[in-house]
Amino acid sequence: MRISYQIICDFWSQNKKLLIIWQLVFLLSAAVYLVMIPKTYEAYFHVRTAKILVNDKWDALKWARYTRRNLMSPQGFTPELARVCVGSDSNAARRSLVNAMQIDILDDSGGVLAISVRLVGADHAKECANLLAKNIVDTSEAALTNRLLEDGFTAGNLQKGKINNYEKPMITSQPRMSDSYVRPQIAQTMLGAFLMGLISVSAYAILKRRYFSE
Amino acid sequence: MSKIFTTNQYLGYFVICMALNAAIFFKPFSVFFIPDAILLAYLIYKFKDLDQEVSPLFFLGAVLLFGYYLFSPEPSDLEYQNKFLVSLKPYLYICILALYSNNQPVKSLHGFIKGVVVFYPFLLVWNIVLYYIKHRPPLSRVVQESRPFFMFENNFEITFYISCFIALVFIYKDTSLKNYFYLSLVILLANSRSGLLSFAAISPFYFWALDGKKRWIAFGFAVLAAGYVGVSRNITQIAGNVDRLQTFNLMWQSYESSFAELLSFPFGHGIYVKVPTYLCEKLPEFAEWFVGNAANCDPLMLQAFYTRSLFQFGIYITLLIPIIFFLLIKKETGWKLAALIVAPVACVALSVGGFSNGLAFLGMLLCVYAYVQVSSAKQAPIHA
Repeated sequence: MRISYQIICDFWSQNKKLLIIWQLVFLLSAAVYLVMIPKTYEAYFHVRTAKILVNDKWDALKWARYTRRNLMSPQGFTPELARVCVGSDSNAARRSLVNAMQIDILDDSGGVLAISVRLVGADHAKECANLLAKNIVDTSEAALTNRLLEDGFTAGNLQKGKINNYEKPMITSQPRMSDSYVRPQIAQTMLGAFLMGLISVSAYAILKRRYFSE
Repeated sequence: MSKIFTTNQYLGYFVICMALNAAIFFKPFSVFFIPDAILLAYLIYKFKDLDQEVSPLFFLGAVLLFGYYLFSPEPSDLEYQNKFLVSLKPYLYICILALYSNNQPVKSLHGFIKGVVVFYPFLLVWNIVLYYIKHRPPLSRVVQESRPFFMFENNFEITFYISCFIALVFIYKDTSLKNYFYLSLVILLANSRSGLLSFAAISPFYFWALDGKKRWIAFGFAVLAAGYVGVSRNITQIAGNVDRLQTFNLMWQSYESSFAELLSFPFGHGIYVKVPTYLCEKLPEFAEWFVGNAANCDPLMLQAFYTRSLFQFGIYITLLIPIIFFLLIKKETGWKLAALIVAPVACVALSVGGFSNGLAFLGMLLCVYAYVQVSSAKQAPIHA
């Protein structure tokens, strides 16, 4: 394909009106889209799973990367969590909940995770984040109780190879909301609209010249 | 080939460069934007001369540019923001190369390229003198410690310098041993491992262009330069002390050290996702160095282009980027020269920005323009 300054100038002079009108249409559509679309907010929290002391070494009962892996599995959520966060307990809803989460591992062996949940509506995102945090803590606490029972843990036990002490899981930083909505993003949406306008007019002008010119 | 500069002009420019180098050395100021500013000025200036066949790869570059900008998962509201868009520069350069590869300057680049090849080593020597004045290291260690530069980190400058050398030797056919001596001197003084790799990549092709005796002399220069860098940077012990291997290891661990996991992210993590904190915290000084904050685990801290690109863009796009550059340059210069022009950038991308670095891109563009100028001069009709 040949592109030259002259071709660009000719294209501009021949399609100036069309370009301006289509750009206005696309940009206005983008503005309406920005106003109308439900806003996605982000809730961000830190959680630490249970820790145990064995042989003078504190470690998470389950390392953070494995907790993360469980959280990224759609079948791992409780029905209540799925319903509160994504409105239903269908498989598709569970998959969308996985996509709504971003999980950063702050301390792998310490079991500390930073989780952000992005959902439509600030209250909804916060409610889901609270429940998710509680869920992680409850699951870890249940696993800790089982492990302590299996190990026959008694307070003050200093025997090597056995659990000498433990720390319960906890939410280390309560869910914090984004200052504003995180999606849709104004700059990206307007740029997308601008590009679509430009591509549409270019395609229209090329097709018109090829098939409808005399 | 007509001369652009007289000897006096060359010396005048050299003195100006010495003064500039001294100013940057003693009073550092922001220079990172200069290559891109020069490129932008050139694009604007030459826009009126735009007239060429544009490769369809232009559209691929544009799709990748806007695709990653528009569809990367959004950055978290609570995390540090950063220069995320820097990562998109390779796609911008692909578009520029596709659009401007045949839009060369009117004036011959020969004089400028020759000037760079001849005078840059002396600028490095000048910088070493400045380093000695400022830090007073033992004379035996001054070259080793100083890591001299002109304006930018010398890893970037060496790539540009090697591009100039390629243009001078393989396009202007100036295969003089002096040029190779200057190149060897630059590699030795700069003391850069990635520079050594680029040097090793292009040297065999230079040897090939020489006759028997000269080949052995050139080989001697190469062994001297490579030996010095090898010994002074302790190149046999690279596994533990090469920071780029450590950052590569971080990226690799973020894919759980699994090739299958790497393949499962065909477009990588996008431009905003941070390196997992527990991995990034293993090298906090990198985060601090790159983004001014030890807790900001922006992928920029991964430093080497391939490492960062594997994290942000995934394996397929990482492999595609050098191939696109090669194909675009091949369109103008043919495959042999294109491979030579891309090789230094492909090597240095193991260590620094590579395809996302403005100076490296300027070097490639310079080679393409030099070739277009030479080939169009050959084709021009001879007037009586």
